[in-house]
Amino acid sequence: MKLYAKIVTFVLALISVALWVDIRFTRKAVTEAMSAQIADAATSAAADQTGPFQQALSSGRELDGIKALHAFTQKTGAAYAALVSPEGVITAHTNVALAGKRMDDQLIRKASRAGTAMFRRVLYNGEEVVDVVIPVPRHKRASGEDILFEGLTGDGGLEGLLRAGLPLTPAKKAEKDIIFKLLTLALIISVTALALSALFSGLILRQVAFLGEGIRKVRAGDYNFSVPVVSKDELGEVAASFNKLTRGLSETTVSKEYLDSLLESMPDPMIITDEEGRVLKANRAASEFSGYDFQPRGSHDLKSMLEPQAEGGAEPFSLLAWSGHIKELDMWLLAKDGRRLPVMLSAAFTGGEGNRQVVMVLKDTAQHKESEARLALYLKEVETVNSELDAFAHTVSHDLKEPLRGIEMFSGMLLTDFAPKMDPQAADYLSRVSKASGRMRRLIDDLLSYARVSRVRNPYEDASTGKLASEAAAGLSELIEERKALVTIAPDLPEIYCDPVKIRQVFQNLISNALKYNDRPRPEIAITAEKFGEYFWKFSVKDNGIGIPSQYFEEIFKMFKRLHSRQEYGGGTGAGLAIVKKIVDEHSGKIWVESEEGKGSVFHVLIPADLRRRA
Amino acid sequence: MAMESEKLSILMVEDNEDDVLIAQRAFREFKVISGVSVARDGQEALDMLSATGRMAGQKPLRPSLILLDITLPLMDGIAVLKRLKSDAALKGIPVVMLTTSSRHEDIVRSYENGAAGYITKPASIEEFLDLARKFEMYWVTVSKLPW
Repeated sequence: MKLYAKIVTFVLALISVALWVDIRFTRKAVTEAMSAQIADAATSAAADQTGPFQQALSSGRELDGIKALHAFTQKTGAAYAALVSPEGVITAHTNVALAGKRMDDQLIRKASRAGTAMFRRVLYNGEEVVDVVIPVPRHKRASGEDILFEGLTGDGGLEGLLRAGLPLTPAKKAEKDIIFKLLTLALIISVTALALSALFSGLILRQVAFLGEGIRKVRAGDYNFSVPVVSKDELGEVAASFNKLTRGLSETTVSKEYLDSLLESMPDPMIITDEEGRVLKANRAASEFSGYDFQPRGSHDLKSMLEPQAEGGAEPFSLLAWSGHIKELDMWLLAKDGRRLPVMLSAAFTGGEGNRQVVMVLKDTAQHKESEARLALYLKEVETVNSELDAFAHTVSHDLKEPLRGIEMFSGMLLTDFAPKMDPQAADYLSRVSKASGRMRRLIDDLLSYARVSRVRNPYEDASTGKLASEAAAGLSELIEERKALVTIAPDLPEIYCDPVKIRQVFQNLISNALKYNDRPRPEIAITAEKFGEYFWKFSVKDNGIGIPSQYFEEIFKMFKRLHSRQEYGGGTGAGLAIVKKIVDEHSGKIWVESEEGKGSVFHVLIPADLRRRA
Repeated sequence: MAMESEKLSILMVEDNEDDVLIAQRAFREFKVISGVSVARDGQEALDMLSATGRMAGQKPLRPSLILLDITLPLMDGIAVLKRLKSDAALKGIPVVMLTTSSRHEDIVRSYENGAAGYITKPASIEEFLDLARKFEMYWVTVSKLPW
């Protein structure tokens, strides 16, 4: 509304100035035009009286002059009139007292010099009049016009001059008329202008009013208010920008209520204190957890409620002052009911200089501690069960072996000592018993070996794999000779940190397999190693044996998994690769096979170059 | 042909009847072994050697060689070995372990405690006969014994 008042004032002032200027110029123009017109009328009236004026002037008779002047004043309404001789002496005057006096001023001189009528405006008895001087020619002519224009060119002489004061009254009337009309016009313009400006400013102000409302809402925290855009001008653009701004704000700015509700909804206790530890604010979780309501503000000292869990542990506020923040510090919180609650405390400063506050988040670790303990218990149980299982497997296998040895031994003894006296059929059956028990024994031996892998833990050391591979090959020298095999071990096998006994077994089992599953007259086995990435060595045992169908690439590493009948290829039990895999797993390694049937296989073993580095 | 005095007498400490039978059968092949005495547990073996306990009053047994099992009831083979080696009268008798165990630690502990040898029981009769042959060759022909 203030803006509207400003607009109205401005418009009115503008109109007033315009009106004032207008009236001023109008008045001047009107007066001048009217004065000329009055002078003209006086001139033509004088022309009608030229005869009497000429006679009065040439004769110098005052009475004749006064008569002629009266006739003139009656016709024109002049306030005064006088006849003046060319020498500047008044021949006759309506004011008879002035007859015979000199009248020699500028207007008379100008008019007599120019020989034409001259006028000016003067005040006469307090009234504005047109003071006009009209030359009176010497000879009478046919018309006043001829006198005016030919008087100069006639014989050039002047009988004298007529001077008259013609009132400006009609001019004043016309002027008043015009000014009245102007004022009326100005009033109409003013009213129109005010109405129009009211309309326009109303439109503008409506947008401004909406903006004002929008700002009030935003200040109250309502970021979803959208200002209606009612105009398409700059203000409309401002309104649109304002809406964009509040939309942006609603996405990025959080209100106090929002923060409070956030704080309240946090499941973990959160406490805000001053630097001295006095509680300024605490969420519901904090109150429920501790039992304190923390009211009124600043009345509770958090320092006295916290106690380090560790012996001689640091007081959290001094720790905070020293390091700026605390992360997951194990503390006791002394609850209102006297309980000591295990918590994990994290804290940091907030706020600026002079108004620093401490934000603390407590995590209830009771449950955490319990599950940790439970986990440790489970782990221990698993370990116990595992070692019991190993011991069990070992004992069972061992105890199974004893009677089995008996069966094998005595069936052997029967065959050795009594076969000649026996029915051949009985001897055959007996030899089958002997073989079956022998096979059973080997299975149990392998099971024992498999169980031994995890049961026996030899010390790890830096061992030369080249040496281990050679030892493994040496252990198989009989078989190698028998098969006329060629085993080559690359000279650049590395030293690795491992259980050397077990790694030797890996080589031994792989070489042994390569020899067994090979029907060439001259089996060839090559052991090589290369760096695999930054952390691993890749050992490869390559043979030219019978190969493995690709669908068994995974299967072969399972316990007692055999791809051939018991009679073929030395009748192994199928434990060798399972043991190898178990050892490789124990070394955090990996084993896989590449093979092509009829051409040979390559077993790849990845072992970390140094297990210590990864631990 | 070896002389009578060079024949071996053996004390076998073994609780498994089967193994006793098998060993006796295997050693029967060879004439150089004069006899195989059998103790069923460690205590019995010590009693036989020292004429104590149930063997009190008898002549103490003085075998050329002791074959000692490890898995024995009551007192295990290693404990028996320790007792033998701490006894001045008995520590001169060579003790050879004969057991089903092939555990590395058993082997180490046996030698550490004074065993003269360690043999894993063969699984078949052929192997056992072969072992007996080699055993006789070593202890009778190759080695010299105190008595």
